[in-house]
Amino acid sequence: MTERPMQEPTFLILTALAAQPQHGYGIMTDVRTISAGRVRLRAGTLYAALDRLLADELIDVDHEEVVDGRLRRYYALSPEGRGRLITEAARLQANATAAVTRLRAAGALG
Amino acid sequence: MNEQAGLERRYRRLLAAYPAAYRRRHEEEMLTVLLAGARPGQRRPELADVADLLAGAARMRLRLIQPYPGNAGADGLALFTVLAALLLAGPAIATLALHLVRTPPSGIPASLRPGLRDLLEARWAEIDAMYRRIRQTIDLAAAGQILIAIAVVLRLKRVALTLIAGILGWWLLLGGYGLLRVPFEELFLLCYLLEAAALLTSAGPRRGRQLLTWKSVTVLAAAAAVLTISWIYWMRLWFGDLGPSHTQASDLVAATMGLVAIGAAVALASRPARYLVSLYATVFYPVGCWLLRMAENDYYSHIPSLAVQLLPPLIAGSVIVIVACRRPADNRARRPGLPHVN
Repeated sequence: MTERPMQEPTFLILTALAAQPQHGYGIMTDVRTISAGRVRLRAGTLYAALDRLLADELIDVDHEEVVDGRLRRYYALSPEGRGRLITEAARLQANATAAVTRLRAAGALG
Repeated sequence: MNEQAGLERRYRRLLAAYPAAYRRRHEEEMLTVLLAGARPGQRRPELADVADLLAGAARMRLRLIQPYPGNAGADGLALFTVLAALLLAGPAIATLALHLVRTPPSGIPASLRPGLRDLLEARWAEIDAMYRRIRQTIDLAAAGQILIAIAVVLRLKRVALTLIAGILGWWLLLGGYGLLRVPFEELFLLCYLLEAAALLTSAGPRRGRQLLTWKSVTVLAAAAAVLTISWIYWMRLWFGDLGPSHTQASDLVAATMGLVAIGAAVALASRPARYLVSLYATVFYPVGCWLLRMAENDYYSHIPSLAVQLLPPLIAGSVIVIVACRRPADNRARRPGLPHVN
């Protein structure tokens, strides 16, 4: 069964978790960095996405810690989430390669 | 710091808009994120954050009434999205076709029995004017029902919802409360409302179609055909070319609706079918009220109040939808990734 293309915020959140577990604020700032400042997730949107990804079992809660009296919960990619991210990255890469190839053939790229 | 305490209090007030279960899971960490992202000296939440949190809360509250796999009630609603559309498509086509090819009678049909005839004669002008006024609304409702049935067959949930919203909007803006004086309108209105609720809170026509077997489709197609025939029989009353008396036609429609409900229950014979029949009964309740009054010959002298006709089915429909969408206990326990924060 072919899966639906992932929405960009979901893709960016999973990407932010690809290297290591992160807490909410870490994901938020990392998504901004990855997207070169283009995508800014706010808390409501971020946690709605995290809640859905937890329900879909694409991420797991890794651990919790309390820093300066504030709760930090760390999230990590699940094996299923890693698989979905690999598939999605390959799909995007294939599309981008096709676009670049055709633009180059048309002389639009150097 | 006072500033941060004030900001935290304001954020907590916004987070209170979320459902309690969601707050238990995420409130503390959301607060951590919100405070970490605040500018130094910031005293109030940014407008964008306010909008984002309120929108997120609304999304979470809507998510609470979404279907869960294996929920018989949600499956009943999914079946309803298919069956209500298909069962009403026949009568809707018949209504439009008769309106297109025939003009309404200019007087009281001769074949009515004397008691009813006298009753109608006394108020014919009023009845005739009312009928002509609402005819346009009925035609729109019937056309809408046909389009919704097409959208449902094609499993276009969003298109069906958009059509319902459009028709209801038009109805409220141009038709208004005062026009809801005949059972056909109430039938279509209730059907639209319940269809919209069922589309929003179930997996929709895609799931509904999965639940239908060839046997149930055959029985339900026969039920739809009988309902359409009895509807045509009923509609002919308006055009003065009827054979049966009012009471006979009313009895026929009432009996047909009962048979269709029983047919649906027998054909499906499952827990979702019980929900389906309850929803079906809810939609047809105003017509039942109306037919009962017609049998007593006093409909036109005592038009039942809208509250009596609309409130019970609306309340019953809402209760069915809420009960149907309640999360089953086993799913609640194993909803993944939801550790508690104390």
